Amino acid sequence: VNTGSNTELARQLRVAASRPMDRRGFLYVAGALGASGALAACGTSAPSTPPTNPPAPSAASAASTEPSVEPSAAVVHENVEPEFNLYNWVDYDAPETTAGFEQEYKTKVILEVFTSNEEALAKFQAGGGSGYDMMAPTGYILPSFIAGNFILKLDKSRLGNYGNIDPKFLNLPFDPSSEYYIPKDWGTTGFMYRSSDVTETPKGWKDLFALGEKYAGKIGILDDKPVNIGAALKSLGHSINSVDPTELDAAAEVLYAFAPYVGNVSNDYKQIVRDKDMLIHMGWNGDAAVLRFEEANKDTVYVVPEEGTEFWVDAWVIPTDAAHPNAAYAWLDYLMRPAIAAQETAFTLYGNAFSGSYDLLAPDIRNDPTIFPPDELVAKLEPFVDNEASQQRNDIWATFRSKISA
Amino acid sequence: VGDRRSVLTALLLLPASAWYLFLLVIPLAITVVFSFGTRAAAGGYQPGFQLGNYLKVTDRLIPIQATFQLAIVGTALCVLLALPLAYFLATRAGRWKSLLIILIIVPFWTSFLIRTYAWRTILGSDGIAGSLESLLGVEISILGTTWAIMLGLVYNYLPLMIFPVYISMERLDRSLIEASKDLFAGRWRTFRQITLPLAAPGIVTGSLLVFIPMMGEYVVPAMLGRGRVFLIGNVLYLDFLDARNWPQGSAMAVVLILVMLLAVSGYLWFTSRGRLQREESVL
Repeated sequence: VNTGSNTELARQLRVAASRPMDRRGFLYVAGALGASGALAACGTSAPSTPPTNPPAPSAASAASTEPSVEPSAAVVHENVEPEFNLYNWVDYDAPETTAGFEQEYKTKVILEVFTSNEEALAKFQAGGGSGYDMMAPTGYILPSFIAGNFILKLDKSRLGNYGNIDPKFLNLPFDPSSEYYIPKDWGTTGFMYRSSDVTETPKGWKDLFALGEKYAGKIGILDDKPVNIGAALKSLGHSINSVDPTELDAAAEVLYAFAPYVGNVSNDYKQIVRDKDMLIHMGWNGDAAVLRFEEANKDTVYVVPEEGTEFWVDAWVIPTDAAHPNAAYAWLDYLMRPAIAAQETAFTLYGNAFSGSYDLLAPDIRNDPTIFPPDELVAKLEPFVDNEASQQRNDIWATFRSKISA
Repeated sequence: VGDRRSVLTALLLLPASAWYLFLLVIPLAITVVFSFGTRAAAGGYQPGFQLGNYLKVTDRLIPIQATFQLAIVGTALCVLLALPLAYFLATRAGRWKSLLIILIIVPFWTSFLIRTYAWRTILGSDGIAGSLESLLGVEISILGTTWAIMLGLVYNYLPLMIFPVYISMERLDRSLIEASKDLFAGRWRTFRQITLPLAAPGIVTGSLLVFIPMMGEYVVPAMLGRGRVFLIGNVLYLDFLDARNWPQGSAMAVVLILVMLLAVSGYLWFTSRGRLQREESVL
């Protein structure tokens, strides 16, 4: 990942954030999530919010310059330890966020990264999970962390800003009474293409697989079993989480037919798309947005597949053996401040769960349908469930991977 | 005195024994035990006894075969490249010898990852391959193919072949070559019947040093193969980390160890038999 361009991007976004804006009703989008079934518990209550006045310049600049952050009124975080060990995805927090936290609480953030949820879980299962105070794996894997007793139940009395969470991101199926997590970012898994070279306008997974022959060797996929099997299932109109043997067999045929055209298998694909080594690549909406904001790559188009796709929520959790719990709670509370949440979204270009922060976002972020997809599409999104025990899925993935180079 | 000596011997052997016990024997035993277990509900290991994990290994024959092919061809290429170079170093390099040896070593002061990543740039569209491509107008990119992986493997492991071969050639008794020439053997025949057999121990050592890590290579295929080539390393990753099926992964690992043991002992038996026969025929 090119940090240089990220810094530049963050600067541009801050400039953009100081312009007047009209509000996009995110609540109304999130409300439609209820229809996905995943969020059924909180489905119907989303009013379509009328556009509000542009926020006062001071509020806009709160997100745009040094975060003039409002300390949480309810809870004072005392005895914050001088060290805070964060275990997270790469480039997943704005440098300003960690710097501001370090300054305010006189602590030092030590970051260690993981590249897959399974890697993080395996580390804990092998007993290597001590030494971290905070991490943000994807929701679907949480049940395994809970089963292993690897994460703490949160003491919400220590989180003064807990009320800032949009309720639609609470009580999600992986932790039905929100005992363990604070939602971080959310987004979709789809694909992107360079519209200056790809003349077609693919709209869904089916279109992607159909383009294989024409763009042979120029199409990349994610190194991710549920994503690929889910895409094939969706292209046939099934759920991404299907474990039905016949449906999986049919999905396998789609993948095997597509295998010879795959040119890249990777979750770190931004540079490859920049270089046009791949013209089409499966990926996540935030990565595509980062590319699109770069002048040379603004022809990058992200597609939320029309058949539906994965909707994921990453979840902040505190490991059971956290040595610096005060810092951990201070961190969570800090991130739930609207200005900080807006700063994070401006950096990662993923949606966050703190609706109070949306006013502070630049219009080109708030109005971006790839970051906040239209509701009829959101209704088709599904979160993954953990299907790793399925031998058939493993076999399909291994066979598919073998067929790519064969 | 005898007691003291045996105590001393025990002390001297202690570090190595502890090393092997804790880092080889015990982990290996755990792997074997795990391979008969079942997957716990949330993933990982649950005690049990079943052979099912071993039966499923046959579903992964394609990556096993692909890995063997890659490692065997890669080792052979290393031998072919190392032989002339080691021969030159041992017999013709003269006063340049030390410098040349240092030149072989110097690249390895850089991390394995960085060296492999550098190849990605060289072979990528921004590198030499890309420039050549736009100059000639022909598609020559090998990134993402088995050839790119082969290049990365041979580049990274070649020194492990060069040095053992060089050492065995260095020790070679020049008078044997002179004798061969006195007896009217040509250059080729001298090489085949004198130099090569005497260098054989070096080739055998080098082959083992190169072949074994190539079989388990994970980084080079991931970086230069663009994830397109699916090998044993990927299967192990899939079983352990993706599927979180430690028993299945353990069975795969045990099978891999057994197959490697068979292959390596077969290779050693074959090469030593050849040498013994030659020695007998000389007598």
